[in-house]
Amino acid sequence: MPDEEPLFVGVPDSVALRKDLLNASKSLLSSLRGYEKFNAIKNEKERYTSELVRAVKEINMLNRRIKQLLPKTRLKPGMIKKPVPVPPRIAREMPRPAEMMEAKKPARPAPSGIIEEKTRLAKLEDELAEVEEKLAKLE
Amino acid sequence: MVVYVKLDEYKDIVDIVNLIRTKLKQARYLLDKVAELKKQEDAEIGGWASELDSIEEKIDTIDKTLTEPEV
Repeated sequence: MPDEEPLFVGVPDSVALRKDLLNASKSLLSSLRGYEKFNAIKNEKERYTSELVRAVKEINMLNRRIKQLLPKTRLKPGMIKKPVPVPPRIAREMPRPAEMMEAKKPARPAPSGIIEEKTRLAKLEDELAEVEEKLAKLE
Repeated sequence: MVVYVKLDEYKDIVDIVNLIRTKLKQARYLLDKVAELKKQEDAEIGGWASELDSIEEKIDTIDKTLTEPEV
């Protein structure tokens, strides 16, 4: 067909459509601005959090220092449990500590990060157990 | 059971306790700040949600206008 007439689609209320488009753009820009604000807040929060962690570590260190300065209390002889003697026959059958350690070894070594995390956690747990034990003795 | 502490060490302990108090106040302040900032973050996320709703609404209207044209 020569010289084909182009077809048009009528858009009713084009002004309202343009207005909606502009408003949508405005909202998007506002969202982006909100993102920038959010980022700034997040950074500030991280800064405060790291300061908080440092303060808690310092408190922990000072606490340990107090513990060092306080004299070690001597335990009364009655408070120390004597090890129960093991009959020689049973002692011979019992595995040696080195053998037990060998048996407990994991098949595959864990990644170093996990080990560090575990040792830190284990240390904290030990400290907590120690404190709880001391508290129990005081009660 | 009474525990006797050397005088100079006692002074050190008292100083350290005071320092711990100061540090605890600082930690409390920092914790309050973190909580406040977390609230601000939550408010920002809430704002985003409502803005996205509004954008969705506008896009729906635009879509409706374009897909149901006057012929």
